[in-house]
This record gives sequence, structure tokens and C-alpha cells, in this order.
Amino acid sequence: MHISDGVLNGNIYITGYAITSLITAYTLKKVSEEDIPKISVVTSVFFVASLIHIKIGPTSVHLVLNGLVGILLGMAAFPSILIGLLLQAFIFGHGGITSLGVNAVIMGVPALIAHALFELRKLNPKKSFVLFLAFFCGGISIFFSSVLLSVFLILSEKEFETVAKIAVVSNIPIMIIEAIICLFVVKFLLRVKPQLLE
Amino acid sequence: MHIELDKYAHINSHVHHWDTRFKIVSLVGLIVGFSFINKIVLLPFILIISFLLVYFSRLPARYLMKRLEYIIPFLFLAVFLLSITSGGEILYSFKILKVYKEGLIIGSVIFIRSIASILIFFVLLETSPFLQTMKALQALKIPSKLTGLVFFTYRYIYVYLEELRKMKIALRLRGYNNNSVLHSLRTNSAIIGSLLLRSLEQAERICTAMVLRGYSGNVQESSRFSARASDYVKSLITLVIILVIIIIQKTMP
Repeated sequence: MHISDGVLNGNIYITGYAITSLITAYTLKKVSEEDIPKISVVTSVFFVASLIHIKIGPTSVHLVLNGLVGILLGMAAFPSILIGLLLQAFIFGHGGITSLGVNAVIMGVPALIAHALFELRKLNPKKSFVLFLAFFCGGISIFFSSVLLSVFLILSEKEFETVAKIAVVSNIPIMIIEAIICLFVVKFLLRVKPQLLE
Repeated sequence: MHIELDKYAHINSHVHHWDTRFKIVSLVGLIVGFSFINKIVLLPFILIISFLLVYFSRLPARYLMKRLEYIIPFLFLAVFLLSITSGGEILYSFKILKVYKEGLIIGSVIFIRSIASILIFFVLLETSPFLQTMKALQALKIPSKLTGLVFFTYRYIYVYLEELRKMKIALRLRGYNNNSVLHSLRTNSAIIGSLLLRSLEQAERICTAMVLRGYSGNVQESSRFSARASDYVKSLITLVIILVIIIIQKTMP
């Protein structure tokens, strides 16, 4: 779900950067300087995990994991995703440089939503409910990402309307996969080291 | 998985010798300029500008083509979908398939604009060593917390790539062959889970070790950038090009 350079109209790229700067400034304020190495280490794990491909039938999809980043890093998820995307652009040439702001909004805002939703576990700390939340957060963050992608496409050119709808629908299998992965990873962490999720 | 960096970063060319800070600002400006273009007559010009830049950078054209190959199918798909779904004046219709004029025009504009922008982005990536580009970003006054994140993350990517490689070998030795989807999801989740577990435990130790060695959240990299007259000239030329294409775009009917 990357938008590359040249696809959207210039105003949208600038808007993307404006939103990203505001959210980054706000979320970085919540992060202390000493936490930077810890966030970096987790960011690099997510970077590496996003290289894992899951085979479905004839094709394979790579993992996004933005919901899981939100669950584990909280507010720091946004800068973490921004840096992940920056490195993906500069190392692999995926995405782009002018589209970085837009892409960070597409991937990062749903991570913050997943973080907020996962906080609901405090209302009902039963394991089955926590696992349900993990499943829900994993899936819904991909849904929100595809919706944000569509919004940017339509704002750029209104002719993108049908293409945007196709983009949301074609992400449904990925939503399910990410939901399941998120569920399994949280289940694993709850069993092995539950403090990580507190 | 192998990450290959800086393969062509040490060629002797005018673009390689351009101060990385100036190069980032100028070329990003050029890509932003391109994204405002939507007049068909201007498209050949932006394509020529990007080809010229590739020519001056002396990067092997075959290598760039190979990198473009991954993106072109997506762009074709986007143009195709746009031209059959946009609505408007029908150019051509075959049974239920209708090709719309508006969609085809916007699709082609996006196609050319993307190719030109991606080529320039590749020139930006390939003409300076990766770490120098990151240091240039730091020199451009990006908040220190963000640059700290970039450098640490970059360092640890290699550590976890190696861990992932070992885990995959261990899996194969135990007879894992990616059969059912659910099984593969379960196995990959376990991989991600244990990578996270190792990393978070390691993070605590790394943090303590760094604080003991005097880390207080600020990594002062001495930046050794010094701009020469030629850097200003190159950036000035780029700026003029950006202004000219934007002015032509704005004044055209």
C-alpha cells in the first residue's frame, strides 16, 4: 500500500507532509530521549518482519503489521512507522520521497487508532477479550490504511473513485491475514512475556 | 534476504560530486515540481529532464531499467483501471468494456510523471552512499530524535536480518515447507513473536550499556559537508528548471 512519487497531485503530497509533521512533533514529545534505542530496535524488527512473505494460492503478500506496531509501541508507533518507511524508500526505492508524508499518514494513523483500541483491554482484562482486541486491531488498521489511501487518491483526482473502491476491496484478504497474525503474535507474547503488553 | 547498498555510489560524475545536502533539496524540489504538472505537452520535457539527469549521473541505464521493472506493471494497472472506470467521454467501447477519454489522459499523465519522478529519486539514492544521505538529512536540521531513530534502526536491521535467516534455516531443517495458509501464518507469527521478544530483551541491555557509556539521547555526528561554488550552480540550475516548468504549467490555458 505504498504511493510512489508522481502519482498524486503536488498539493496532496504537501498536505501529507504537513499532517505527518504535526503528528510526529506531537508523538515525539511523548517519547523520552532514552527510549530512542528501544524504539529503534523494535522498528528494525518490524522492518525485517515486513520482508516476510505469506503465500496465498498463486501469489504472496508481504506483511504490513501497522496494527501490531501500534499495540506494542503506543504513541511512538507513528515516528517508528515514519522511519520504517523512510528506510524502505532509501534502501529499496519503495514508496518515494515526496510521498513519504502521505504514506506515513496512511500507515501511521491506523497504528495510533490500534493503540487507542487496544487500551480498551483495561476494561476487561480477560485473555479471550485481549486476544479478540488484538485480532480486531490487526484487521481494522489495514482497513483504515486502505480507506486513507482511497481518500488521498480521490482528493488528488476525482477520477480515481472506482480505483479507490477496488483498492479497499482488494485489501480484504490482507486484513484477514494481518488480523490472524496480530492475534497469534499477541497470544505468543502473552504466554511468554505478558509484561511486554502492560 | 540480502540488502545491497551503495553499489554505484562511488562513480565519478557531476551528480555524484554534488554536495548531498544540496542534492537532496534540489532533487526533491524537482520531484515536487513534477507532481504539479498535468498538461500533456509538458510531459516529454519532464521525461527529458529525468533522462538527462540519469545521463549526467553515469548510472548504468540497464540497472535503472531493472529497478523500474517492478513498478511499471503497477503503473500500467493504474492507467488501465483509470481509463475504464473514470467516466466521462467514451473513446472506445467493446461489449461491456468502455475506455474513457478523461481516465486515459489522467492515467498517461500519472504514468509519465511517475516514471520521471522515480528516475530522479533513483538518481538521488544511488549517487551518494546511504549513510552519507542520512547524515545529510541530519545536517538539514531534522529533529535529533528522528535522526537517532534512523541510525539505530539502520544498524539493527542487519542484526535481525541475520536472526531471521537463522530461524528460516532452522525451520527448513525441521521440515517446514509453507504448506497450508493457517500453518504458515502460525509459524510466521511465532517467528515475529520471538524476534520481538529477543529484541525487547536486548533493547534493555543495549540501553543500559549506552547510558553507562555516556549516551544521553543525542548522537553528535560531526558533519563534514562543505559546499563549493559548483554545488550552488547545480542547485541554482535545478531551481530555474523547476520554476520554468511550473510557470509554463500555470500560464498555459
